[in-house]
Amino acid sequence: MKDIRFGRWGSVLRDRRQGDETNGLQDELLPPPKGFPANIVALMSGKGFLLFGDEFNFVPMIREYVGQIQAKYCCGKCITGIKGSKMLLLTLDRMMRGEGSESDLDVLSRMAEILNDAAKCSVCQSAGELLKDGLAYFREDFLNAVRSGVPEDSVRYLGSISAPCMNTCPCHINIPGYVEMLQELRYEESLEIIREEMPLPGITGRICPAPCEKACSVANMGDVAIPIKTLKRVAADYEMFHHIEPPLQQVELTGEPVAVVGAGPAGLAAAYYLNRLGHPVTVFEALPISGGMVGVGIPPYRQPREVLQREIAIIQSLGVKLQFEARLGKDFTIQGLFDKGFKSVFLGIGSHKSSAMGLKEENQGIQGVFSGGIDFLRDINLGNEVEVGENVIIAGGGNTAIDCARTCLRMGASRVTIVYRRTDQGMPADPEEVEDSREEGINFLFLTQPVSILSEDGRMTGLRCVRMELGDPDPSGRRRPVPVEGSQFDLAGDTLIPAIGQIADLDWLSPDDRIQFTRKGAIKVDPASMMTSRPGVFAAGDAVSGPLTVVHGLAGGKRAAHMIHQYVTTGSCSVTEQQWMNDLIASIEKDFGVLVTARSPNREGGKVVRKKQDANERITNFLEVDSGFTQRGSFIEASRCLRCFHVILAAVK
Amino acid sequence: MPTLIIDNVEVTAAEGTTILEAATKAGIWIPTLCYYPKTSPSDSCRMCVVEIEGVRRPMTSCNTIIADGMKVQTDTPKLRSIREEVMKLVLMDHPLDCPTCPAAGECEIQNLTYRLGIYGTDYKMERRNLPAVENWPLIRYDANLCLTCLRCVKVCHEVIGASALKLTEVGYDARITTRDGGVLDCDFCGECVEACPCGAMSDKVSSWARPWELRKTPTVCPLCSAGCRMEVNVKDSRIFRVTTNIESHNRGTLCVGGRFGFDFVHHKDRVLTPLLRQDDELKPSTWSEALKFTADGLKKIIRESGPESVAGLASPRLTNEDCYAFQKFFRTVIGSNNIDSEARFSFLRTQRAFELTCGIRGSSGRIEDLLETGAIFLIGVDPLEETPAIGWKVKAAAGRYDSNVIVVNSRKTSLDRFSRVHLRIRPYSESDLVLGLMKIILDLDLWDRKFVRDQTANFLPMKNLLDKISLKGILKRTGIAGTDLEEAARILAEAPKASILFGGDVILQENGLQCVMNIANLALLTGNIGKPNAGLYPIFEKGNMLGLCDMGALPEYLPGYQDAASAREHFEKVWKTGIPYTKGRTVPEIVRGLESGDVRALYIAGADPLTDYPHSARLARALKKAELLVVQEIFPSPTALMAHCVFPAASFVEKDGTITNIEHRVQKINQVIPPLGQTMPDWSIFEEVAKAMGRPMGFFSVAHIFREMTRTVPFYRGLKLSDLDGDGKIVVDTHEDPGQSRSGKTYSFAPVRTWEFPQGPEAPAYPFEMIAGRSMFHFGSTSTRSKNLLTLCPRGYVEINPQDAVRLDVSEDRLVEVSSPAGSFTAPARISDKVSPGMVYVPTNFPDLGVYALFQENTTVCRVRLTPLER
Repeated sequence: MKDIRFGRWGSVLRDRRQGDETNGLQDELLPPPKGFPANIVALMSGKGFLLFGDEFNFVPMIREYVGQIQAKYCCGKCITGIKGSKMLLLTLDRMMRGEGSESDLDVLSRMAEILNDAAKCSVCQSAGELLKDGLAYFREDFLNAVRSGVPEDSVRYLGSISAPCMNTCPCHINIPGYVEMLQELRYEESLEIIREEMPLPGITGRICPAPCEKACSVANMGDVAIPIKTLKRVAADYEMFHHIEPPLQQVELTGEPVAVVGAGPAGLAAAYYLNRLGHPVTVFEALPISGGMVGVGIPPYRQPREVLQREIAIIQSLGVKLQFEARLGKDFTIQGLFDKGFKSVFLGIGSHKSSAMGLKEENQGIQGVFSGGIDFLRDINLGNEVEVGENVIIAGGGNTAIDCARTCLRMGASRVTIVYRRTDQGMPADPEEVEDSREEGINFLFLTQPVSILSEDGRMTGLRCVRMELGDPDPSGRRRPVPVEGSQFDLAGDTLIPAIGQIADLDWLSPDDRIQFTRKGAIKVDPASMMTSRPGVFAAGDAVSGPLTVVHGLAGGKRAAHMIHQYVTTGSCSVTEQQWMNDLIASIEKDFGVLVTARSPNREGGKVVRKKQDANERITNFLEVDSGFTQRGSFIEASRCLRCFHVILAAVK
Repeated sequence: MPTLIIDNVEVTAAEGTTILEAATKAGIWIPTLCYYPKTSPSDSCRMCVVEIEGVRRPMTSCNTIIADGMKVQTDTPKLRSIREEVMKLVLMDHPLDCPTCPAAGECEIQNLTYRLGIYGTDYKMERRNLPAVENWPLIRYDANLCLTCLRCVKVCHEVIGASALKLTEVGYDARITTRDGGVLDCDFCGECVEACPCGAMSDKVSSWARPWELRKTPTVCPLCSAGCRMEVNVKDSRIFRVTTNIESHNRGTLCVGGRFGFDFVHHKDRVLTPLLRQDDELKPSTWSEALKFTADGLKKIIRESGPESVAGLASPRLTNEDCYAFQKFFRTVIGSNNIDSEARFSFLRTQRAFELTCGIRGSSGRIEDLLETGAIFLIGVDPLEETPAIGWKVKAAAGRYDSNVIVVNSRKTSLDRFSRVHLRIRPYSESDLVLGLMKIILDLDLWDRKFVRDQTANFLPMKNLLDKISLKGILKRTGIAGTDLEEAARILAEAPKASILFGGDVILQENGLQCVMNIANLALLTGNIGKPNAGLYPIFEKGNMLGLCDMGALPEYLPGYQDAASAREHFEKVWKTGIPYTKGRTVPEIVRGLESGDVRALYIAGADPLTDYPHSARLARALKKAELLVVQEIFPSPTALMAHCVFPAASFVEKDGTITNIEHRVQKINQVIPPLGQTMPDWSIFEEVAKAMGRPMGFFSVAHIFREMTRTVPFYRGLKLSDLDGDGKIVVDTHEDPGQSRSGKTYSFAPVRTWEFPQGPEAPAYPFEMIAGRSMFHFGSTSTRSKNLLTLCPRGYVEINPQDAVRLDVSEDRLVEVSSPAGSFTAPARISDKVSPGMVYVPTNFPDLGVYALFQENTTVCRVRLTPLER
């Protein structure tokens, strides 16, 4: 295992170059070295500096760090950053050529000071901070350079830029970049930045669970997080409301044909990026509409259909072909796709099967008992005739349960109750969704577990439940609910929708398809390349990860697209250096240095209050509840962003 | 309001104020370089750093919002050292070519270096030596001087909305380029030059005069009806450039006309001496000869045929005092009400429609009120072409202020991109489109019932007429889909406050009166009259259109729109003479009078009817019959060239006076240079003619006329010239100016009727519909003598849709003959999808085209045929 010879991370310093531990601080305050690959020599970032090897010269590495800032990352919008880092670069170059003088050290030190004090953002500030480390702890390297320059060596450098939000986002969208564009009132440019990493901005601007917001530095400094998700929606809505043609250009599709199975987030992202890379893509979708779970699982009052349709139409307009009502295993097989000439197949089949509650009455065909929340929502969204009773009970605590409850209310149910076996603290549903549904008059029964379904003449009459209490913590850290003896009670109701979970429907795959599954009932893939057990077949999204979020699906599809591109052009695929770097950043930050505990801003949370339809009004229709931010509001919110970008540079041998 | 302590001084300022603004308010100086009050902060120069107690790093004061109890230090050793270091970084490669730099003397780098006491830099690097960008029209960019402070980029995006500039590249290579990296192709407002703190953005037209040699005189741009304030910079009686003061109602922002159009003043064609026709040729003469000729001629005709045989045409180019003197000259010296102007075809229609409905005059609110309105409905107007200052407000409203913009136009407009709905209608179907909106708003029950019930009369009669009109027919005539119209109706009617803008396409059409009445009806139906940030904005292209009419240069009204019947006594007392009882002649009646011989003399001041009036071919024939044609002009216009006597008039920079803009803001124009040659201000020429006729009016100064005007025009009463410095005064409290219908209710609906542009029997032979408007870069015909503006748009053209161009085998710039049954002209083709197939557009600014010769009376649309000429 690698050993950290020298480390400064934030304000923590640890110098073990002389062998013995001289500093009493704990190793845990530095990132764990196990996360780093074997060939790493040193790492510089906005957070600090880590040195792993003994053979090391600080001067060429800081020169490279400043060089990359000058060439790629300095935005050109601050005089100190532009000119300070340029002066730094000129001076370091001179020193490396052996033409420096000792007075150059003074220039470096002044530059370090001014960059740290007066550069606009952390990109150039960090160069100042790192240079200070160098001048303090690696002064010999600088003096040697003054005396005799710096010889060539075999160290290579890999650089990247990130920010806590950007890094926590599965799609790694340049969030500070697009937020800055909104602050500059440049909605179209903002959207362009978003689209580089993610093709469905209008959708994710509405229903993304926004892990980015939980990592926001503003929030971790005590203020409310930047409402990153809703800001994205402002950019997307601006284009839509003003009927602006998206600036995406068609590319010539001269690559290899690829089949994508499933037009959900993962499939659409895979199709979009493969298209951008020049491959002709055909998407096969089992349902008559596209969008996957976004299309059939999320009700229109949260996710208006026209937004989804528009974003998919944009992808189609680029040359991606969509075939509907084409189900894998029924209408075609994987082998069939290869036989037709597709060079690779991507499986983004999602998790469209409701989990069962395990009650014995569940499958007895009792009138009023639905098979599951996902099935219920799908039927409604496909326009099938669905009837709910007057008094609806929903079992479950996730977003699907809430969606079902609010949908039933809008379909005319007079009473809707959600029963959930934990407390509201343990509910996986988005807190704002819960708040909204309470406003609409949804009842909640917490610490309640269904035991059996009551019926008369084949019609449901109620649900027998048992009270629960919280016992010892389970592996997820939440306290496990256990039944309270003798606390059974009956809840009257004529409709039951179990919404306790969903799994991938893998019954359509046969052993002939040669796709292996995990024990949990998901498709097994190599996590780096996203390739399944069958060469040329890739998979991502809920079918691989289990039910997760839209943005995870999009990220998986995007990664798979790059892998498929490698596969169809070179015959094999491996992680690129950029991906390696992204993964490295993600692991360092996840494990160390970034808090991901901030709460997303709710409606009143930020500086600007979002407008929502009145609760009494909105339960009569399926129109969108939340109207997002005004443009003025987005300016105020975007202005709070600190642009806490940091450059990361790894020296590898 | 938060209170904070800045440098031990307690300062209280409004919520949301920045530290920099609060300090400035308290008289504490914080150095800045990139800060520009017109735009959002770019915090790029780091000069304005301050230390805040409890905050680790120094913070930029330009974008840090104050908080209660904050303790701020603006001048500590640490801050001084940061500023000094940053300034040294600025100077490390900034070419110190101050002696040859266009910004020398007003360069903020120079000033700040001096003020901070910095004597050079120890950071040395080679100069950049990038070539300056010289191939843009009017504007030059030198990246070597540039700080990338982004003022230019931000002002272009946030204030003008042109977004023509951007920051390209990163790090030390960062510099400003156009959006696509090519040659600058924008509105050429020059705001980037005004915004630049140093010489990086400079104009190409103001060399070679140093800022300290230039004398700046504040005045008002007369080129359109927005009336922007500006400062004319003069050296040795020559205008070198125009600058602005940010403390003005237009926030120191000008369009291309104000910024660059000034040079027409010095054009070699200026008429500098009186001209008299001798041997059928205009020859230089003297004032005494010309005055005697005119006075004798007028007296003879009056003696022989009475005062009714003399008529006059005034112009929106004249000042209020000129107009006032002109109408008084006609009413008291000539003894006739025969004075009219091109307002006949524009303002008066609007005025009539407003009288019948809502009683407002001019716009119902201030230009800046548009920012806070909920929806903006633009019909038949592209304010970026007609009154750019209003266009920018619409763009800003659509951006940061969340207004929903609806554009209805038969051409593509530059605001389409900012709109929620843009309806490209068939030419001249605006009137019907408004009726369609009203029908939908009534059907969907989106109208303002309470407002209509409490404050309006004649709703039911109007509705009965409207019910008889079918929506289907309207959709067919306008060529608009019902769903699009419904979306527009919803946006307009659901906005709590909406403003409606309409312009030349609506007002100038044959059906203009009805169309404006329909628009006013729409405003009433949606309850958008009589409240702030809502209402009607008629857009008149020409500068002093409102003042011209306020001053009574109209046959039917005395000054202040007063009837002779009621105001006669007052005027006779003030003017100490009787005023005529006759009904004066309107423009068409004057033309008919000339044709029949009833009108024998015509006195035209500042107008060029042959270029500006519809059906100019007929007018030209009529003018030939005039026995005495007197023209007061600054240029030998086509009309002036027909005159018997031409009086050389002073241009707006050569005289004092007041003008009234669209908001009814009365502002002062000031004499910047002495009158060129033998020119005189128009009012004083009228006085001289009156004297020569033996009946002096007694006007001896602008102030004198102004004083009299404030006694006779009710809503100018109490104004003093000295009050008009700065932003002038809005004389009509616009949005609180209710009309009065006969029923006692404040407002009244006008009857509605549908209207279709008549096809006429000539339609098959003339397959194109021609619309006449203006060129983006010209204002009336005056500016076609500005060399600066001619570099942007050198000549007239005919805009043709690409499909039609292919069909006719016309390529860009190929000469095309455009002919109607009434006449023809030849112009190069400009191929553009701004016009729909089957339509052509021509600017009316260029006298040599004589576009109006092709029109029938009273309209700006006609059917034409296009014949490509041999190459």
